[in-house]
Amino acid sequence: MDAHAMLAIFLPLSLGLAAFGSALGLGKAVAAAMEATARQPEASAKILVTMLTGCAFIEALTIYALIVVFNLSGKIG
Amino acid sequence: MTHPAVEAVAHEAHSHPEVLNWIQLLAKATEPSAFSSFLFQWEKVLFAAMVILFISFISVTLSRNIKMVPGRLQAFFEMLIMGLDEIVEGVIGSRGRTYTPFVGTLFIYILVSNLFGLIPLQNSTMAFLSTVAPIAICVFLYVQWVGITKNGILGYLHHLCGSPQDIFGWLLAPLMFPLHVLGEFIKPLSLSFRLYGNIMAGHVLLAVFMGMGIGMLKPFHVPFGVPIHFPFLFLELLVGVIQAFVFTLLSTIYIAMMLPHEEHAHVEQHQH
Repeated sequence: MDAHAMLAIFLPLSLGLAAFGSALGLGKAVAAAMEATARQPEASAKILVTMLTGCAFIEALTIYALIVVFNLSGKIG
Repeated sequence: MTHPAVEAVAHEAHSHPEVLNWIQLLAKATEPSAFSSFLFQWEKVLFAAMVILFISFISVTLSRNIKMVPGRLQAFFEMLIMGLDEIVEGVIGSRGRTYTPFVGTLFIYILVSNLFGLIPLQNSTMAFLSTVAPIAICVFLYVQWVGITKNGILGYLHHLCGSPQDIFGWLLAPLMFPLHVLGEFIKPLSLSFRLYGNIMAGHVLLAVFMGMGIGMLKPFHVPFGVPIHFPFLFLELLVGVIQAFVFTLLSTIYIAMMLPHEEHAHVEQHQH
């Protein structure tokens, strides 16, 4: 297997792995935020802001993988 | 006449799907000329300049005639500025007002250029690392400057050692110092990559779906496509606003972390 074929297989796979972890994290974050909102609806605005910030942090990890994939995808040929 | 830099730009543009913006179209139309290569090289700067001119024009015209009883537009902008002020004061504390101008400028600039990128034939400046990284470097330098001026040089070094209080803290200081220094350098890296990656990925997503939409109608030989990228425009609207907010909030948190610790304790008491 040459480098091109390896890249072609593992670039999408790496993105999928990163997205898998991110999805688990996002699910947990949103579930916790919804629970908190259900318990205390008057704090929903504060919870929403905190949740969005956390979600952006979690998503950033997938985005890093995406940047790497885009940078290397030109080498597949 | 092909300039080597032009070829580099063109090569870079082909590494991922991209919708041509009007500056690139203009450059392609006037291809073999000095004007065209100028457009290719200065594309990002031109977009940034457009956003900056737009913001400057709005703020100058608004601040020319400020009334005691605000009109509709003035009331809207006052609400925006007050909201920013509240967020910054909520994070840093009562003395956080000093930092609102810097942080608010970041927010407005990033937000406007993200929204500019969603206008057809426009591109967001935030989709290029070369225009996002300088903003993150500005935040980095400003945070260090705040740390040095508010803590003093010795206080700044003390902070970088993890603020040791007792003998165990001082024993751990040689370990904490490189970690903190590394952390300071990683902050602008993660800031810029987060913003650039999100916006660039959004534009690539739009470009891919536009290509698919055009491909769907290819057998009929019509000069348009199915606009299946349309729902994603709203996603990009949301992402643009959230990323601008996150960038601002993180810069505020970095400033708050650099400030002397008495103030920090006061903030926590204030919040509970």
